[in-house]
Amino acid sequence: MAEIETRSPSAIQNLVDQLNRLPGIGPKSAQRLAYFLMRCPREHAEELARAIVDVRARVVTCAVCQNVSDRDPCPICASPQRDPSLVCVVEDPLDVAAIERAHVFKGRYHVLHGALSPLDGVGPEQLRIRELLARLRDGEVREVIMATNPTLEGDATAMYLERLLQPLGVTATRLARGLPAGADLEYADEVTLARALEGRRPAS
Amino acid sequence: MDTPRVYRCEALVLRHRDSGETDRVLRVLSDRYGMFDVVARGLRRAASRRAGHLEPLTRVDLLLAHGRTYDVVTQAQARAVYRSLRESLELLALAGQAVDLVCALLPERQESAGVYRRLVWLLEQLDAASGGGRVALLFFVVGVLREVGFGIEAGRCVRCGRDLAADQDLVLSAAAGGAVCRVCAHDAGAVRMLDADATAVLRAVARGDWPAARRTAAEADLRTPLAAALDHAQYHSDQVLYARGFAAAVERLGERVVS
Repeated sequence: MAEIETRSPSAIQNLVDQLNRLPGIGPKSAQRLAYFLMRCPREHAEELARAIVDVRARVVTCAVCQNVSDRDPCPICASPQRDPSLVCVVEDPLDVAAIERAHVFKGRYHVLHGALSPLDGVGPEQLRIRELLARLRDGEVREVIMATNPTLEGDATAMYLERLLQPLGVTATRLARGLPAGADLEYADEVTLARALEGRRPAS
Repeated sequence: MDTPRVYRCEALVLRHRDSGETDRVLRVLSDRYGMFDVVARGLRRAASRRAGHLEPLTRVDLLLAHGRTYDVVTQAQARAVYRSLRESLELLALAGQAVDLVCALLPERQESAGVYRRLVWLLEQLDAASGGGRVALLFFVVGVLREVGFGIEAGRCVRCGRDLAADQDLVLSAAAGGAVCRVCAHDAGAVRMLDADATAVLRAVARGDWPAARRTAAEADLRTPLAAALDHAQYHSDQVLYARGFAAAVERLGERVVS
């Protein structure tokens, strides 16, 4: 008896397989997206394909801060308005975008492209730590702000960097820790509450 | 009778990974149901009420709802967050190796109350920050290996069966499954040689004698017996323990800062 074809045509299946590789996209979502792309206006699909090709062709890593940009050095590193003595260390390029949205930080960044993970064995050689140390060598930087995520991995990364920076005479600081805006005390965990109390300020 | 939609358990959060926009998949080791993955919705939001309760290396009471792929965390309350442990790179490196070992050795959803108790014990020891972190990890590793059927033989040669004298320095072979005598060591593949102090610690640990292990460890360099026990685990689980790399990096950092 002839076998019934249950898979999608090979071009669609190929697209499903490629979409399935993206983070957060499971097989079902990949299939939905693939069929959407097949049915949407041809120019929309072509624009998406061009955008994907362009992003790989045009986007480079800034040699100074390791952020992704379409120029090297990136606009932030090239800007004379940014304070070169202040460097904010973040885990991912998306963290730069999040801090920039707040419009309060006027220094420059350094993107590590990940965080140390004691539990998964991600070590310092897998991050852009060597590049950070190279930036600090000329003595222009006086403060490094560790803006890693408040997770076990982010904290481990910050602790590691603090120890590395100690002998270099650079001031190492960390973002304040405590309760987020709109949170309920009742639901706060022990670590967050302890850090919120430690970081209390005069009510003026 | 219908299966209840939700169930409770006490668990240790071992690892986490991001999933979707704001969710996290957590690998937990529970007291009753062994090791398995659960999903915690919205955990990556800054205002998540549960995020702090579900960080790795937290002991937590969970209320879980049965889900299609993963069971879903509906409530979480931390029992112990091991704060001193998470504020020391050296202790984190030790705990990381323990978690890596558990993930490598345990099958999913198999009741492992013994391993759970041992891991809680280890985290308490490390958190007490009274020194002796490395001997506690060694005691944990050897105990877990014994519990899952890969115990390290330290009393006699695993090749020829000859008893090893109590004062004889141990030669350990991961492939052979424990100590080998000097004669059998020649064709036992890669071996680690322990000096008298390290031998005394490993023998106490293999007997499950914690006070003796603690006492003898004061004099010994535990790097070799710990490396031998982890080699043993790696060989028999057929998995690479990546957390050893992080521990080595932390050790190098200590040397760099000191020098």
